[in-house]
This record gives sequence, structure tokens and C-alpha cells, in this order.
Amino acid sequence: MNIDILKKLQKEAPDLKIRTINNINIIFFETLCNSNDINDFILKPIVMNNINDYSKLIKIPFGNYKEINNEKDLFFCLYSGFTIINIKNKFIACETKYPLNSSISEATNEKVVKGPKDAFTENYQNNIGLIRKRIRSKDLKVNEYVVGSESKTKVGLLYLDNVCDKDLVNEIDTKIKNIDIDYLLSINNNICKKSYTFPTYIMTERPDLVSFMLMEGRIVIITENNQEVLIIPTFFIDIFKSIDDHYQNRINVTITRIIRIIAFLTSIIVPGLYIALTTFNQETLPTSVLINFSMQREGVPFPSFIEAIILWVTFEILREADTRVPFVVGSSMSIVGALVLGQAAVEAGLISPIMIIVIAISSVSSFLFNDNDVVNSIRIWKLIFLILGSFTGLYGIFIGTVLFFTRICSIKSFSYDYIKEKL
Amino acid sequence: MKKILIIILIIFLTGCYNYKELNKIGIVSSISIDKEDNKYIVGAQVMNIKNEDTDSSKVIVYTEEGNTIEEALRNMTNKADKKLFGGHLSKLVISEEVAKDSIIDVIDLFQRLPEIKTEFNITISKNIKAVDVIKVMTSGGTIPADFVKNEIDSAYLDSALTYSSKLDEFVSFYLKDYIDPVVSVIEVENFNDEGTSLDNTKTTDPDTKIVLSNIGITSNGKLERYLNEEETIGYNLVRNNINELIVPIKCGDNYASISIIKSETKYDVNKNKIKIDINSNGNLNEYNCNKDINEDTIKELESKTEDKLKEYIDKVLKVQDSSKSEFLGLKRLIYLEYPDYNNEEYKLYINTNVNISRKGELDNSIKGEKNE
Repeated sequence: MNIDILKKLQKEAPDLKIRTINNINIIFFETLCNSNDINDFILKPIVMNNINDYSKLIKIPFGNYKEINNEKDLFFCLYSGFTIINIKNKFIACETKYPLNSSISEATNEKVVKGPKDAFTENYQNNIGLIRKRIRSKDLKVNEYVVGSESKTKVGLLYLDNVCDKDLVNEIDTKIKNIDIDYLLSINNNICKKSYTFPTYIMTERPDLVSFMLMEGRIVIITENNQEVLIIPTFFIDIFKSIDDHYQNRINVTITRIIRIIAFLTSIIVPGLYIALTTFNQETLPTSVLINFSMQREGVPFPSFIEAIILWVTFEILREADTRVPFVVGSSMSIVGALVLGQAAVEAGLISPIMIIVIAISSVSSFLFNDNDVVNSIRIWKLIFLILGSFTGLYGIFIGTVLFFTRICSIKSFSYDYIKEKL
Repeated sequence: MKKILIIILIIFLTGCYNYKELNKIGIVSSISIDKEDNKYIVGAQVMNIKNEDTDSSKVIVYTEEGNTIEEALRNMTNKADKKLFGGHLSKLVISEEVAKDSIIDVIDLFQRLPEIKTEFNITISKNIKAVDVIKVMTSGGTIPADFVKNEIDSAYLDSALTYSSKLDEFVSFYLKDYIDPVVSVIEVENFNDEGTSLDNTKTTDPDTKIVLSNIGITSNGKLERYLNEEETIGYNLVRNNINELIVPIKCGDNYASISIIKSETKYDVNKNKIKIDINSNGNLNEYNCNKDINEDTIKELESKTEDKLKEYIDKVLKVQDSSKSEFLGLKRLIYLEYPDYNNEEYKLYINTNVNISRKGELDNSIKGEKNE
């Protein structure tokens, strides 16, 4: 092992700098390292004290340094932001990492009314710090792994030793160890079963939620370079819980949770139920309601099912567009959505106003849940109910309900039942 | 894969049975039944639903004849542009003639069809063809048929002047022993062609009106006779159907009126003796008598009200005595207690008890207050 391999590397990585003073080579990536640290703590002592051999070099006070014996370590340290000091055939690495991440800021994806505002960042150490700040216990254990044959992403598995189920920890531990992947983006798809539409995990950026879940005995997985932290296992009822519930009066929160459950059922069932009632089981509606519906459908050329599908697809396109477009364009999007597609479609006689109400109420209801995985699985079930309702009427809605509940009951969240109330 | 296949089969094997779009169905709100030359003449009042506020009538009446009611309804498809849908039928009007022949024959269809609610009103059209009743244009509400339904409900609940007879109750009373159902009776005041046009709804005093005319009693599924106002109140008192009732009381030359707001009828059956206890609570709502209101006058009013209620009941009992119909269901009370009862004579004791709990702000009539 000598300096030549690094010099060769320099041709393909122009940001790799090699500085030579008194036959000491100092090698670092200027994009990863803090140049002030290198000046103050490496270059200055070497020049001032006129250091030229190894025994003198290791007397320089470094915070975090280690000797390097093989090529693999050399590259790992170099790419992790260490500065390598080479004297003759000896290599040592000292940490001069430049923090390449955003500072702790407000949670942007999960809005809450009450509670702390801080959120996880892309920095692995920061994230563990944010949790340690909340749980000052020696029982908080961190297992560290490196996942990804190319990315070498640091993954931390956190659990409370005295609360957590050891079998579960072992299960997750083997799962993480068995991950065979080049580049790790997010760990949820690698350890959770993919065939379930409802999520058996929570991805969150709120440290208070993570700490709360740890206290309940759940496992938390922090991935480097990802501000979303994974909580496993989670259950069906967790969909209806939000961390800011704990900062509020519990009687009021009970009502809020009931409303969430109503909204959940509304968003799944309403479009299918509306079509079932108006095309198959008209006798179940009150007469005046039926007359109003009938009046609004007058002149609409399509069957109700096609009408609902058109409107639903339009809405999903608008939603997807709204999440992708930059904030500045967002307001013009909503004008197009609300006015052009809503009002004009009704006036053109393509869609009945009541159908807009039905699709809108069901879509708005699904936005009570800030987890996108929940919103998307609601979308799938909405479509199932819509198809069942439009082909077989109320009978189909009952079949759908049975299907829905059997599905929910048959999901396994790791080794637990999905309908478990609490861990 | 098997599961998915089963689910797909469940959906598509039904072949969209019973599928009908909302704008393709004609909602039938009322049906009328007359008879001519041994053939039923059936009229269907179908809602004419329009998106815009047009001058057109809210309902269209189709009439057709047939040997059965369904045949007549079938023949209507020649005239109607939409499939007739009976799920929202709110009243059935049967002409006097048909009702005297047999009500039960007529309603079989409505009891049998699954889509029809069994909660519509059964009414008899008195002195007029049934089809003319459903042709009358009434004001108010988006649903013209609801006019009669609301009329019956308010008359029944607020003043006990009629009884709201629904299909399922009618059939179940007919099938039970020792009790016969009753029906509401409708009359039309001043029926003419203008009454069927929109003009009838444009004035404050429509020329042609639908008027309720108390109830008719049936025996063996046939209309037997009509009851008048007082007899109807008596019927509702005995059958424990009172929700609210206004009782006028004579005092000297003037009148007072008591409004009964709560009334409960209790039966006590002992062998062949039936004791009917009526406990009522009432308010003094109108008072034009000369005497001051004090405990004595209140007591007097109470006893007079009790007598009046007894009078109502006596009148209806007289009808019961002279009729074959068991519309009061008194024999059924004995039958329920003693199942081996076989149509023997029974004795009836009536006891009424009225309690006036509120008399209003004035201690005297307004006239009397001034004279003091």
C-alpha cells in the first residue's frame, strides 16, 4: 500500500487533494472535508513543529484518529470525510468531516396543532441525538449496520432493552443483515412485506413520535441520509392516531379519533355506496333525496360508473400534479382544478354535481391521514368498492365489506396480528 | 389467483341484474284503482323530473285498463318514456266501488313485489273516481303525492280526525282474528278540469282541493261504511291512537276548549268483561266562560271533558254494535287473554280520567278580566 494508488485515483476524482510537506503527504477530499480543520489542526502543527517522522506525528492532538492497515479501510475513511496523513509507508486518518446536511428544522410533512416542531434531518448522528435527548436511559440500545455494497449506508436499529420483545429484535436483526442491495434509499421496502396495501410501518420525521413509540416497545430504524425514520411494527389502529393527540385533552381527542374513523369509512365506501344506491337500490333512499339526485342526473350522457371513474381519475391526476409542481404554480393548479374541471364539467353536462360532491367528500376524507401509504391504500379499496357497487349494488358493498375486514384481519405486522390494539 | 378469479366471478356473473340508471326510471308516487265493466282501470301518477324550472307539471298521470293491475301497468309502457318504478309509492287510492267489492284483491300485487315499500297509505276515494284524486294539482313540496301523505299525518297526529293506514298494518290486521283494518278516506272538493292544471296552484284559494274525510271501516277485506268525525275520535281513543286531541266543552252559552296532549288507553280483560281506562293530560287552551278559573271550575272542566270523551266512545260503540266489522278489535283483547274464546258476548266498562295541568296566564276569560 503506497501513495501511488491515490495519485492514480486523483485523475478520476479532481476533488481529491494531495498536499506534500516535509515528505508528509496529506490527502483529503475537499468536497467532504472542512478545510479550516485541516489548516488549524493538521497543517499548522506539522509546519510549526517541523514534524518529519511518525513518532512525532502521533503526538499531534487529534479528536478522532486511527491507523490504517489495509486498502479497504483507507478508502472507507477517505470517502467518509477523513483526512489521510501518509508518512513513509504509514497511514493514519483523522476526522475533518464537513457536515453536509441541513440543520434541524420544522417538520414539513407532518403537520400538528400542538407539540414540538423539530424534525429529523439527513444526518445519522443528529437523528440519534434527537432521540437520546428525549430518552435518557441506558436501556436505549443502538445496533449499527452498514447496508449497501456500494453506498455503505449506515443503519441504526434502536430499541428499549427493558420493554422491547427480544424475538422481534432478533427477527429484524437477521432481516437487516440479509439485505443484499447496492444502494440503500429507504429501508422499509427491504424489511416489510410488500403485498400489503396497508402499511405495517410508520415513516416519520417527528422525534417525539419516535420516542413515544420506542417507549411502547416498538423498534426504530434510522437510515443515514434519510430524514424519515422507520417505526415497526404498527397496527391498523395506529392509522387513526396522531402524536399531537397526546398534547391535548383526552375527551376532545376521543371525538377527533371517532371523526377520523368516520372519515376513513366515508372515503372508502361513499362512492361505491352512492352508485349502488342510485343504480340498483333506489327504494332505500328517501323520496325527496332520490328526486334531487334524479334531477341532477338529467341529461348526463354517461352511466354513473363511467362518470365516477372519469371524475376520480381526474382528481387523482390533479392530486399527483399538485404534489409535483413547485409551490409557486400550485395556486394556478387549484384554479384549473376547481373552476375549469369542476364547474365547467357540470355546466357542460358531462358530470352531475352530486357526483362531484361524492368524489370530493371521499377524497377530502382520505386526507385526514398524513401518511401517504394510508391515503394510497384507501384509494385502492375505494376503487374495489366502486367496482363492486356499480356491478352488483348493495350486495357488492356487503361483499366488499366482508373482503375488507377479512383482509385487514389476515395481515401480519411482523409476528403480530394487524388488528392488535396495542403492542 | 383462484381468489381473484372467484371475486371476478362474483361480480360479473350477476350480469348487472336490476341495474337501472336514475334518469331512466319514472318514479311512481301514487296509484289509483277504479273498475269499469269488470276491468281494472289503473292510474299511475309519475313524477316528471326536470332539471330547469319549467312551466310543466310536476307529475304526469297515465291511465290504462286491464284484467289485473299489473296488466294495466304493463300497458302503460306504451305511453310512458321511462320504466315505472314503484319503490317510492306513497299512496294507493281505491275507488269506493272497488273497495266495496274487495280491497284485499287489489293490494296483493303491492304486498308481493319486492321493490315496493309496504309503508304507503291506503286511501278510499269517496264520491269520486280514484283516478281523479291523483289528477288534482296540489301546491307545495317537490313531491305532489306527499301532500296527501302529510295531510293524513297531520290530521292523524294533531287532531285524531283520521287514521294513517299503512299497507303492512292493513294486511296484518286482515290476517289476524277478531280485528279488521280501517282505511283513510279522501274526498275532492269541486273537481273540474282546471283542478288538474297548474293554475290550481297559483291562487291562494284553489278551486279544487283534496279533503280528508275521516276513516272507513272494513269487514272481511271489504269497505263496510264510513265513520264521521266524532266516531273517528272515539275509534282512536279506544285503540290508544291519540297523540293530540282538541275537545270543545260547553259552559253556559260559551265554549272552552281543552287540548289533550297525552293520552293513554289501558285495557283490563277479565273473562267476558273488558275495562277500558283512558288517562289523559290536557291544557286549557281557550276559555270564554263566565266563571273565574279556580280549582272548582277546573274540576268541572275536567269532568265535562271526561263526559265528552265518553260520548265519543259511546258513538263509536254504537257503530260497532250495528256492524259486522271488528274494527275496534275488542274481541281480540279477550282472545289474546283467553285463546279458546269463541265469539261470545262481552261486557264493556269505560272509565275516563282527564287531568288539566296548565291553564295559561289569565285567571279568567279576557272579557271577564275587563269586567272586574
